[in-house]
Parts: sequence; C-alpha cells; structure tokens
Amino acid sequence: MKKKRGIIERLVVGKPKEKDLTESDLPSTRLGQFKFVFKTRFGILFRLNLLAAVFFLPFMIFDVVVGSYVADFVRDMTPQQHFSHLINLTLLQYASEIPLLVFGFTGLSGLFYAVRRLCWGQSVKITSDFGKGIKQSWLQFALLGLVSGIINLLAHYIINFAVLTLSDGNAILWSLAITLTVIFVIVWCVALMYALCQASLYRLSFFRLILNSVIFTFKRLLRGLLFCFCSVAPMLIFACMPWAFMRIVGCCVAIVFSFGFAALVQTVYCHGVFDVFINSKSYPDFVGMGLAGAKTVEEITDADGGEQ
Amino acid sequence: MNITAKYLTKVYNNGVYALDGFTADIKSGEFVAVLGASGCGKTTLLRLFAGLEKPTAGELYFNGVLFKDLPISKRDTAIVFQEYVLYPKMTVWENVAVALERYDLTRAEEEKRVYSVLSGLGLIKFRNQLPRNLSGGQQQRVALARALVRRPSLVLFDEPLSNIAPEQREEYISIIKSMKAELPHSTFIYVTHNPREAMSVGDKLLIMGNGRLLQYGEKERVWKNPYCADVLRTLCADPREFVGSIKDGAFSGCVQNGVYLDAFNDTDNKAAEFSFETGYSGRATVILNAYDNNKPYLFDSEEKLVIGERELVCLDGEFDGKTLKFANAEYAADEDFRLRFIGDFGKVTVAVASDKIRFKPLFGDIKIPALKSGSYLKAGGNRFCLYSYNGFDGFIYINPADVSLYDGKMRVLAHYRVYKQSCPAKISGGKLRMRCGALDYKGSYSGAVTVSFNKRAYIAPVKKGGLKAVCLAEEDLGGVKLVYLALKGFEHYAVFYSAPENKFFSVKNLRVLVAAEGVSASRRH
Repeated sequence: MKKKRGIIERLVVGKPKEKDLTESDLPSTRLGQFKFVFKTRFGILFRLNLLAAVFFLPFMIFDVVVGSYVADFVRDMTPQQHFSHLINLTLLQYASEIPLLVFGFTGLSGLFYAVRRLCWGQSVKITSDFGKGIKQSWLQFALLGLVSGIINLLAHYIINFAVLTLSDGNAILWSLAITLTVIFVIVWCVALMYALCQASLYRLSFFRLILNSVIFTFKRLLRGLLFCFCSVAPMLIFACMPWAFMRIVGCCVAIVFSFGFAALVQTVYCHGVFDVFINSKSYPDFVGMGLAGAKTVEEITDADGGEQ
Repeated sequence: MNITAKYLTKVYNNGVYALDGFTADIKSGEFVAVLGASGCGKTTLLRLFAGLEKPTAGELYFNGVLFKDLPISKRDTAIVFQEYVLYPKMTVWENVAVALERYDLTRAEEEKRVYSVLSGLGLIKFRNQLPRNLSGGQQQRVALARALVRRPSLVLFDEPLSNIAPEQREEYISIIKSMKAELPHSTFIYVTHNPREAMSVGDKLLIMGNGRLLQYGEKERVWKNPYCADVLRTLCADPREFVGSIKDGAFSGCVQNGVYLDAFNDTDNKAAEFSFETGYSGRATVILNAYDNNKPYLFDSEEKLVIGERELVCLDGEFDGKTLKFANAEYAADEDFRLRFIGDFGKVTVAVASDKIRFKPLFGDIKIPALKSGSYLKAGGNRFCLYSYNGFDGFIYINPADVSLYDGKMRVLAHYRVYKQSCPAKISGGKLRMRCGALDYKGSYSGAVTVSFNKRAYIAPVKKGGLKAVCLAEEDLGGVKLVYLALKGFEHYAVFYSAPENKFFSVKNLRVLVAAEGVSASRRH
C-alpha cells in the first residue's frame, strides 16, 4: 500500500513524474545542457570550484596584498618618479605573480577535466577526477599559465608606460599602443578559453594548441567574446574595481563560485565549436557528447589522441 | 543462498503475533513469491530475512549459519523497498554506485558494473538525472539496479510495484525476471498481496495467513492442490464459494459468499450442487478455483482439502520410548527424539509433511514400503494421496527430523528438547522459595528441598507473585500451548503447558503461577 509522504519528504524527494522520462526529454541543445548541469550538479560544481580556488589562493592573496602596497607606494609619487620605478614595480607585482599563476592554472587542469566529465554525463568523484585531470594535463595548463603571466606582465607594463608618457607629445601613438595591447589581451583571453578546453580534451602539442585556439578565436570572434565575457563576468566585475576591498570581494566570489561557473560555460560553448571544427572530421563519436541522442562514453572506443 | 527458518516467531510490544512458528526451507537460486493478505506477516518475514528485525523466538539459518552469528558484511542481502528509498541529491549513477562503496573495486571495475546494470535496465541515458525527474517505474528500476549491482546472494522485494503505475507493472516484472536469469544462483524473495503478481513472478509460491505458513511449493502444485481453503481464497482473491454439506459424494450448498441461497427462487439463486468422488460426509465448503477453469474444490469442516494431497501424511504407529514402529518400518529414536517426546508411550500417529516425502533415499532416511492403488498410496494400514508419483518404486523415504508425533489431535513431539528440571529451594512461612520466586505451600514441612516440575505442569501468567520468568519459545500443540521458560536457578529452560489464549512473549516482567499438581518437592539433605 502507498505510504503517505510528509511535506519535508515531498520537498526534498519531489513527486515522481507520471510519464517515463525519455530521450527526447533530455537536453538537446548546449544551452539546455548548461542549464541541466548547473541545476543538477551544482553541488559538485561548487566543490570543484573550491578545490580550484585553493590553487589560485596564493595568486589572489599576493595580487591583493602587493597590489595595495604598490598602489599606496605610487600614490605619493610624481609621474616622473613613477616612471623611473615603473619597471621595478611591474616586475615586483606582475613578474612575481607568474609562478603563482602557473600554480593556479595547474589546478584548472583538474577543474576542466571534471567539468568535462559532468558535461558528458559521466560520474564524477571529486578528488579522484580532479587529481586525474592534473596528472593528465598539468603541463599544458602550466604552460598556458606561464604565457598568460608573461602577457599580463607585458600588458601592464605597456599600458602603464603609455599612460605615463601620454603627455609627451606622441599621445596618438601611445593611445594606439594602449588600444592594441588591450585588444591583444582580450583576444588572448578568448584564445585561452579555447586552449583550456582543448588541453583537457585532446592530446596536442603546445604549438598546435595555441594555433587552434587563435584560429577558433577569429572564426568565432563575436560569439567567443560574448561567452568568454559571460563566463568570467562574476569575477571580472569585482576584480576590475580599483579599491582593494572590492577586489577582495571579487576574490571571495571567485573562491565560492566563479571558477566552476566559468569552466562550465566555457566547456559547454567550446565543445559546440569543437564539434564543428574538430570532432565532425576526426572524432565523429564525440559529436554532441552529453546531448540527447549521442552515444555514451563507454560506447566509444578509445580514439587516437582523444581523451576518455 | 539457502535459507532455513525454524519456528520463527515475531511478537511486537503490543502483543500482536506478526509471525507464529514460521518454518520453511528456501533453496539457493529459487525465486519465491510470498503472497498473503495485508497483515499476514509477509513484510515482517522479509524484515527478519533482511536483519532489520530480530525474531522473538526461533532460528534463521543462512547457508547453514545461524543468522545472528553472521556478520553484517557477510549477509550479502539486497532489498528493494516499496518506496524506492533513493538518495534525492544523487544522480541515478551515483545512487547505484553507492552500493559498491564498501567493496574493494577499482574505478574501472565499478564503472563497468554500474554501466552494465544500468544498460540492462534501460537507464543508461538517464544516469545523470536526479530521481525526482524520473517516473515511479524508472525510480523503482534504479532501486532494482542498486540492489542487483552487487550481485547479492539474496534479493528481497517488498511490494515493489505498489507505487508504480499499472501500465508499467508488466514491464517491471519482465525486467525482474530477466535480471533473475542473469543471477541464477541468487535467491529472490518477492512479497506481494496481489495474486496475479505472485503468479507472474517466481517459480514457487509461499502463501501466508495470520502469521503462519499455509503452503509452500511450486506454483502449479499450490494452485492445483491447495491444502486448505484459505490458500485458495488468497490465490483467487475473493473466489465464489459455497457452504453446505456433502453426503455420498453429493454436495449441496445453501450459502454463497456469505449470502443465503433460496432454493425456491429463480434459477440464478438455486442451491449450488456439485458431485465429488469421495467418501467424506458432513459439513463442507466448495470453492471454485479460477486457475483450474473454475473447477469446484471440496474442503471439509476444518476447511482442509478432501480430494488430493493433504498437508500432512498420517500413519498409525507405536512408540515405546526407544523405537518408533509404523507402516512396517522401524526407527531407533536418537537422544534428541526421545527428549522431545512429551506424550505417553504407546499408540501414536506419525505425521510427515507431504512435500517432505521422497522416492529416493538420502542418508539417515526411514525406508517405508508402500503400494500404489489408483491415485493413492498405501503404507501400513493408511491410505494417502501425493501430488506426483514420478520415481516411485515401491518405497517412500522420510527423514526422522521431519517426523511429528500426534496423540489424537495433540502433538506429542516438541520442537525442542524437554529436560526434567530441578533446583534447590527452601520452604518457610508457607512459601516454597526459589531463586526465581515463591509459590504457595500448604504443607507443614519447613526446610531445604529440591523442587522439580512434573511432565505436564500447567502455568498461567500473573501480575503479582509467582515465579519471574523469561519466555524463550511457545508452541501450539493443538488445543494446548507448550511454553519454554528461562527461570533463575534452573540449569536449563523449563517446559510447561498453558491454555492457548495465554500470552507470554509480549508481557513485561513476566511472572507465572505453576499449578500445584505440577510441582514436586523432595527433602534435600
């Protein structure tokens, strides 16, 4: 006989559906896939985020502390004094950050691997899969972290240099330099998005990785920009604010939520792009993975260069 | 897994006897459907098998090991509940994989097993879904997957289809059957109150009623040869039945399903008439068996089947305390048999359950010559019918452990040994004082004595005074109850008789009064 269920049980367990769930009810679009994973696996995403945040913690602490120290130091300087100390200050803040950024990116390898498993409908054991992801792709991610750190350093130097010399007559030239630098950084961010997702999925050389990423960036420029921005928006808004307190808030948001969110958005979007440009030709079994109608991972044999 | 239940009894605190002396032998690899009306004890039985409840009395053996001696890790039992009992925040995959957590499997092995069982149940595409997104039938399939992924030796189903839509039930039953085919050595026990469901799953039926086992056997054997009317009523779910009388093979029923038939009304309400080939005369019940094209089945005044194999085969015999003689065979009673005998030496009726009679011997069996006469067998001066005679070659074989002795309607062979118990006591102040309590003493003697209880000492529970006791077991001997009590000061348990309506299990701080003629005291020097 049916047992009457209490209100708490009904809230937690829910009411069974009257009709069977069928394949046609499963997410068939990337947006549907994102919503499903975000809603159903939020707990796991949150815990993965925390794990990834642990790797970025040294970088965030260093950035906030040194950043506020440098800001205080610079506040009392004249532009000439600032200019003469520019290289030292830049190296102090941004060059010192590079190893910490490399360390942080190593953690991203575990995050992206686990998120990829979530999107493909596979089971995820948090520490085990996070570790497996690091073991598998730490080098590629570390190199990406290194390149990102160097670009970060150069960009800050160029922009600060240009800002400080704007009044020297070649304003147009320096403005152009700033603009180009910013554009380059934005393009790099978009390319980085593709690179991170590829590195956790395919076995590629670093050169091939960068080349593919740049190609994808220009083939899908606007869409890439949009998704890249959406993925990091929660973090970016706070991180870009000049006040140290807001940057601390931004770090807290990142620790709690942003890494996992960004990884999910980027993975879902990038896999759609890979389906068009890579999978349809080289790995047809991977097309639409995680969507309704696609094969399961176990049904696919280990393809050459493909990740399982 | 072989399951042997011996005299399992479960009494709840409110005094309800959920199970009363349940005894059955379920072999490894069998698929048994347990059928009975609500409240008959089938869920209690399942919970005892699962280890969720402890029996009040009796023993339960799994593969020959007493259940309570079996550590939980070795019990290898899985249960599929009526209410699914899935973790709401875990996906389908995780709900199934959690069953493998305490096994030392590698990740790859675990994934292979979970994948295999989910694919077999058609759930692999939904492995990432939370249970709340699935229908009742799909959730129950997940529960089934979780139970089967460990490949357990015993799988218990507690009315799993109750919360499933009717249109999904057939599919679920066929899934269970296919899963059973993949686990041929696992024992499946499926509890239900729905006769159709019981008949469609499983190879064997176990019919229960009022906490007792009514019949257990192959499906066809049970519906073709129900031992009593209750078995057929349970199987057929409200069948047409007539109460009346039979004489010279002619039955005339004046009551149908509780409604009096007027023989002088129109043809629809005429008294029911059936004819049978039987010598039985007297009050009778006829039930139309829906599984046998509504053929009428005749039951006597005690609602036992008249034509066909009966529950017990009864043979006239004699027991002199050492040797049991019956049906031209002899059995030299062992110590256990002699200690269990509680009747008077002389003529007895030897009873054996019909399904325990074999045509091929096993070690230690009693060999009895028998003659086949029509559809009956004759052994000694007794005639009886068996369901099948395949393999009969002139002898039947009985294990002495399956033998029961009766004196008239009363059983005189107890389930457990009966010891003559005595303990030191003291008579003072008009009381016979023992370690477990005091009884009234009407004599004049005062001093140390040895107290013992006579063979047929009667007891009754009391609220004050008497002896403090703990009830270990009860037996229904037929008109009287045999009670096994643990009393302080006595080396073994003491065995007493009592009126059948007295209850000893459910009583807190049980105190009993022994009838004076049941107590004997001798001076202790």
